[in-house]
Amino acid sequence: MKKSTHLVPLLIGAFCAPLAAATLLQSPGSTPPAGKCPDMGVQMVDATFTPTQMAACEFGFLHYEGFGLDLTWEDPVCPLSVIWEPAYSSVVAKPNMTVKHVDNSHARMFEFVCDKDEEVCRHSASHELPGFYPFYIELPCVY
Amino acid sequence: MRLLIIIPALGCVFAMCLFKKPPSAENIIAPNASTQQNIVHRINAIRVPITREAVVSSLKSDGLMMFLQQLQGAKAGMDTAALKSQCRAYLVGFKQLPHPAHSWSAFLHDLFASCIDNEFAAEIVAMALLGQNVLDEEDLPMVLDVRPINIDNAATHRCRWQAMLFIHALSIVFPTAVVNGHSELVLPFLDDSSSQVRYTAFTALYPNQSASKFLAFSDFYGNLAHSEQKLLAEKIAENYPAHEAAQILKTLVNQHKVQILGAFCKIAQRDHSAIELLLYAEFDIFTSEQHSAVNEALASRSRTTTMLELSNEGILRQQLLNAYFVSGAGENAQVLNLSVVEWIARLDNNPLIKQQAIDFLLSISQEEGEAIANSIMGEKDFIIKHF
Repeated sequence: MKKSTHLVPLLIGAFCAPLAAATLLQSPGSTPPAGKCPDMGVQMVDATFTPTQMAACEFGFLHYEGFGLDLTWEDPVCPLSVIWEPAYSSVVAKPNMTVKHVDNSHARMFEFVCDKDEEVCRHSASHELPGFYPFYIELPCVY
Repeated sequence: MRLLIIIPALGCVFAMCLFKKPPSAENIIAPNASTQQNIVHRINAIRVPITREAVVSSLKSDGLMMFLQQLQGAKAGMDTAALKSQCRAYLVGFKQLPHPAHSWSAFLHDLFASCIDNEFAAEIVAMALLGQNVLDEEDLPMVLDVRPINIDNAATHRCRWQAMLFIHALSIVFPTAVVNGHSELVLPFLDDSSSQVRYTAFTALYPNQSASKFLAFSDFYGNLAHSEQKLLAEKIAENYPAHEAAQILKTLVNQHKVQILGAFCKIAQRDHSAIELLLYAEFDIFTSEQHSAVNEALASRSRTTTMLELSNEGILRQQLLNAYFVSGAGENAQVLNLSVVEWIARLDNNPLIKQQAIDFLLSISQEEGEAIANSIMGEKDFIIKHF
């Protein structure tokens, strides 16, 4: 039984990156770079998760907490794998602003299995994916 | 045998209803003898026991009124899961009852009216409404009445559930309107201020868009919020043939620099050869064209600008590599052809992508991948340029 993503009721996210981003954006202590202003700022893109395999165990009520991720699943369907993409900075046009690269983070894949005895969807493994998600901060240009 | 007991019992229940004041004058209209039989027949035809019981219970007592009153405010100890089930049973059950023995439209209006500026009621109704095709285009004005002040940033305006209810309701009304030949009611919502509303209208208006026609909507796609871009990409990944979907997503990523890894993963798990082909194509096209672009980026004095240019240059390959990895892991793992990853690790000019391909080979948990990675890194001329 396949379900589209928007039918999955809730992701109660506990993500560290957006908080860090909110703190770091336009940090007053940062030194603004000199030179020609690129007129670029950042827009934070929220962390998201995507179930890529559903089905198999239809009794799988799930609560999974780990890696800063807090998933609550209300549907009686077990997600067998979930891709979590961290929050990242999208660079957008912004007058009189410039950006500074801070760090990269990575997406993760979480695997689950159907535990027929316990009638739950149980976490079995997680993998860090090699793809990076850049994290920039924006600073005002100084002429 | 059970039916023999249930049918007379229901008959008694409705006979009692005739002598009892109905719980809501607005909602329930006293039936005559022939409609009674019709109701009994219809209720018996409801296949799901929980729905049947909820409908019977609401008719024989003031259950429906109590339910609507409970929606007016959250109280300690309230079982929201039970309320959601009850609401879902009403939505399904009442729709199946013959009019005018029970006023379906009055019930719906009462239900939606209770959700205006009411997060508690909106949560119950939004979740109960999921997947229930119980609304049509005539209900559009009623649905528009529950539109909260903000939809795309509803959480910050404390109207998250009202926004969800509104979108769930639209996702039922819009497709029904289109099927019933009233697309003109939906078209104006393609220009709505909310990205979620635009997305809902688009998917209702163009559910089976051919790949060639879809690309004409690339600008529309670019103007959606990232959450809706992801949803639409995943819809394409699920509904189109894998190779066709992969081509559409490739174009969208190249045009809009969007991260839609989940959609690529869905394609890879259906048919990982579609991702493999794109990796081949990427490798062939980009290694010949990227050299100067990458060198220019690496020569840049700003590390930030270099990172930005290298990231943008590699955004598609990064997602393809990740999706390929995902298709080789988990319960339904497919056998991966690591030679294409080896080529990228060996020859790609973008140091970020080169590093990703090496990381991929090391983390794939296959001896072959590790051996290839070690062999590449052991070569004398192997250099990952610093940036």
